[in-house]
Amino acid sequence: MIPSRTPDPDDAWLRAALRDAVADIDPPDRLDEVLSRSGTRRTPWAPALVAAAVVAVVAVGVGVVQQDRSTPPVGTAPGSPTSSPTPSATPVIPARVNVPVYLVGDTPAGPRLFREFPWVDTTGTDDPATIAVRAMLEQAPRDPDYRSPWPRGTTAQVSWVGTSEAGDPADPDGAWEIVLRHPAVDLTRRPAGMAEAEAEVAVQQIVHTVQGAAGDETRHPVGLRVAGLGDAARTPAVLGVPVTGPVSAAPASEALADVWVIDPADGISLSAPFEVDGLAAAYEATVTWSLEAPDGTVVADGFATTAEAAVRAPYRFTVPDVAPGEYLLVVSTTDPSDGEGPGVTRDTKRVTVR
Amino acid sequence: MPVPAHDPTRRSGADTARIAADEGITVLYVAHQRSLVRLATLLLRDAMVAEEVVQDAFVAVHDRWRRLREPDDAVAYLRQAVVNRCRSVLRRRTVALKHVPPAVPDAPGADEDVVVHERRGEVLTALRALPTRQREVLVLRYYLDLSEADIATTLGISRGAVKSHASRGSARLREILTAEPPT
Repeated sequence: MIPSRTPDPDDAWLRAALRDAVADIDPPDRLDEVLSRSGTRRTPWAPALVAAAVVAVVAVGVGVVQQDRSTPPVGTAPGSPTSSPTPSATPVIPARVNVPVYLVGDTPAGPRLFREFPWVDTTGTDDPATIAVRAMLEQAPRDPDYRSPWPRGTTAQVSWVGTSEAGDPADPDGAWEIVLRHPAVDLTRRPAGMAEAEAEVAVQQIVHTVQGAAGDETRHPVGLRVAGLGDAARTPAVLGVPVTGPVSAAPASEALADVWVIDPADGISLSAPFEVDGLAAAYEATVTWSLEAPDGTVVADGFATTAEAAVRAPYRFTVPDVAPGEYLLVVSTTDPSDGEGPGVTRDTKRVTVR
Repeated sequence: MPVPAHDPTRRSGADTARIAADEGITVLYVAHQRSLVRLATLLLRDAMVAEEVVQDAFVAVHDRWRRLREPDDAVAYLRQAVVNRCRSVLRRRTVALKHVPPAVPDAPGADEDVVVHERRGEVLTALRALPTRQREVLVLRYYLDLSEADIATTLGISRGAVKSHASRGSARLREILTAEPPT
């Protein structure tokens, strides 16, 4: 019981009230679990099942709506549900959430990062960074021009090491820690056939995905560790890329593709006219676009200006009314060298105009 | 109580660092698990979630064992890990709910996730009505009996801030708890 309701200058009342409030909480001994879980840590966040259930019910609704609007022409991912994701009798409550995932695509400057926002099924107990990294490693990109270079079967545990909450800008010493594992592949080495640039961009891919999904605006560094090598300091390299210390996000000009189409996503159906928006680091702040029929005929084209030249800035344009059918939307940077240089960066999206 | 240092399978690995960590964490677990779960319950209100948070904090400390210089570091780190994880849980409930489209009505029940014993529910509910910092300061001060300096370190705030959160928080908590007559 609450001992006294009279304010007590020596705070004994408050002390007693707090102690009493939790006096009958007697957690079971789960030490063995702590010992066995070391290094194989479950994601800790919010096993608040009822909260998850609320999200699940709502998010399932959204997921279905999303699929109606935009069922992609190719399979989204092995294992990704195309049927109703209604919770079954399983003890965990599934939810669908929308997370940013960075993916690799080709540009004249080499492999660079693009971004998608896939819907991901989760039990509702994982944090966004973990969910996004899992999607990055396990789900096929929606856009067939993108890929994830990580060996199939790689899994990752993401955790935050800091004195403040995950991704807190006020925690300058905070960092992410990712433990990577693979049952058969030595993740410290660059897989045969993988170019060095590809491996480097893969490391940036996981760094950007964690930071992006966690909303880590300060972009705290990411320590990468391969499971089974013992101490964090024992991981010399990941995919052959030296990781002697935590990895920071590379500057956008080095890591990210110069043009992204953010909306529409690949494979969606929409009605024309429709708006397109994205980000581009464009020469003279100009991107060109075209809408191509399957036979390559350009049915509409134009250009758009970004808010600022040379640095990544938003652009937006409207595709006019066109006949129903399937099209390829192409957005490109322009080539200042007029063909002499490496060429233009493109992002393309398949769209169906209803 | 398993004492993995005596587990032959662990010994055979001759991983002395691991054995030291296992022994250290065993001692800490026996001494602090219950009070930390209670602490987390005061912060979260939900004892089941609190238990998971504390488990995770112990795993994290175990993983970091070699980087902790003294046993005191471990206790302080553990405490900090629990408080930070609780804050993340609360924040992530909000984050998760951000996926709810605006057209869908709010889910006021999201936080009503445990049927708590009525007696303690009153205090726990009152705590949840406080801003996070005030709640953390009160709980560290009146439940764990930490000094102002230790609270400041745990939360990464100044001692002045600890003082002001404590006085505002305790005044507010009293106000809430004395507003309703006892049943």
